[in-house]
Amino acid sequence: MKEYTDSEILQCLKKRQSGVVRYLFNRYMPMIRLMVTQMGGTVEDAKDVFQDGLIIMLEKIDNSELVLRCKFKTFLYSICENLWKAVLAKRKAADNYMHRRIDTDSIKDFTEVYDNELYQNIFEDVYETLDPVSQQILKLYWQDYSPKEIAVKLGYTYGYVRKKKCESQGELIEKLLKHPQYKLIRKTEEAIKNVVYD
Amino acid sequence: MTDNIKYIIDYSEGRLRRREQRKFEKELRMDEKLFQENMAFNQFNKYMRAKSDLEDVRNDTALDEIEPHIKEILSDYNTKQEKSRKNRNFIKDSLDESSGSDSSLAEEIAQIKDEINEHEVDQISEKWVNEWNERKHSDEIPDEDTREIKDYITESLEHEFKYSGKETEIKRLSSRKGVHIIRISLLASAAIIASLFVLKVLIPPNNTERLYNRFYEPMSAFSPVTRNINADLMPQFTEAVTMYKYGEYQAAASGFSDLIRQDPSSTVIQFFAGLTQMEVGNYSRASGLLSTATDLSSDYRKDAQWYLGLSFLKTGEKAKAISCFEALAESEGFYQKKAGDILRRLK
Repeated sequence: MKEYTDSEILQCLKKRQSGVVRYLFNRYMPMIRLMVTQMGGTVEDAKDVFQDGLIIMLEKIDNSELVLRCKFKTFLYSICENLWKAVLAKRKAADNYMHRRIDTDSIKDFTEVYDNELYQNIFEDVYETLDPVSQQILKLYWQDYSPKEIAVKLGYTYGYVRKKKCESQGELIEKLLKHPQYKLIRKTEEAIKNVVYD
Repeated sequence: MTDNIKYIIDYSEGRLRRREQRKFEKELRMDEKLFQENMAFNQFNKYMRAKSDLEDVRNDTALDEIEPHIKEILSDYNTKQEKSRKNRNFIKDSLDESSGSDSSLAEEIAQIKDEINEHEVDQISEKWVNEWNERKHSDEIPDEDTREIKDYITESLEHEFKYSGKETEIKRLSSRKGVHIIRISLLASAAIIASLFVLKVLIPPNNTERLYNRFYEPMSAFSPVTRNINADLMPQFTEAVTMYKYGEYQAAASGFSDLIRQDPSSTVIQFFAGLTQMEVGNYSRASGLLSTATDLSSDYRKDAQWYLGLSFLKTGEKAKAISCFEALAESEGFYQKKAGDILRRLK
């Protein structure tokens, strides 16, 4: 994925370029989703929090009150985490909290959280089976380092890093698709989808 | 490795051309194996990237430092939510666009909308449509030029519909209302074609100085990224940026020069110093400073590349300018489209 710099993100938001919102969604929504689901929320909760977080940042940019003294993603995370904590506090404070939770949605929420955890365990399992060099290269890639930067950091050639990264990603997908638990979840998801749409 | 993985990686990293992207998206709908592999690839990457981001953010020492500030912002936001309706709609609409089934098409439409907003095209097209409606209802006999344009467009479209198997669409529009819609569309199309001719005539030929004048504008330093600045230098840096913002370039230049003496390694300071040197007309000094600020670790690397390219345009160093704009045109972001526009004129 090609990266926007933090300065570009601010400029594009200020100029209301919708492309940057889609970029931010693709780039940082998984992080916010992971944070929210780790703290007991659902994917829908994460979407609401993410949307509110962006609106808050936009207002501050409009009012020229935003000076980024940290990474953009740290700022966004901090806002979203605080928003989510406030939602949790409100939910806990509600008198009918327990009653509200025992509704039909709770079954869906539980399945969603359970599946998320299951997926995460499978991903970790598969990643652990890679050789150390592949692990190092992919880890840096997920931290937004370009193949050129990874090559400099690890002392390999650029060509080797690109080839190794591609091979490692291929190996991951192959192993993932063959993983018995992954196959089982996918089969269940397909079955549910067919029941819903048939 | 599966046959598809390179294809999937190229797509996800934006290395496919638009036509290839569409082909990939079409294949995704037809080829179950490719679909499953692409989904697995995306799930995996999203999770691992999210995990890596979370680790990074949670280990960021700035997280605790900004906590009180964030709490203040949230309390402020909760007290005046009504104000943010416009922003809420913008964010919501932008996110809705990304959930469309054909992402590249949605992206294209979004780009068009952005361009419409940026150039206030809506106002112009509204004026044209109003003029057309007034003439249409005034019983005025169309002049020869209008008739010629109308005939040209009608015949061309009929030909297009016929050969693309869409005759039925013309038939469907044969009701009175349909004919009105066609007339409006035809005149609008004619107006667009005419305006393209006019634009072509008005756009000046390639000239680096002219291109510079057309594209250069001072940086809108409204929300500076200051995380890599030594805390002791912050007050002086803020003062110099404020001077730049208010057009007091000589004072800003002197402030940034002083800051560079105190911290020669800061690419942020070098970037703003470079911008200021452009404003005072010292382009060779500006190029030197901006060139340092294009370093990969710099927060302003793309901004620096943009202004460096412009500085080269000003000094007539076309090849160097092209190299700067090429890098920007390849990379998604604020400068991508503008850099592409300049490149088309330079090449």
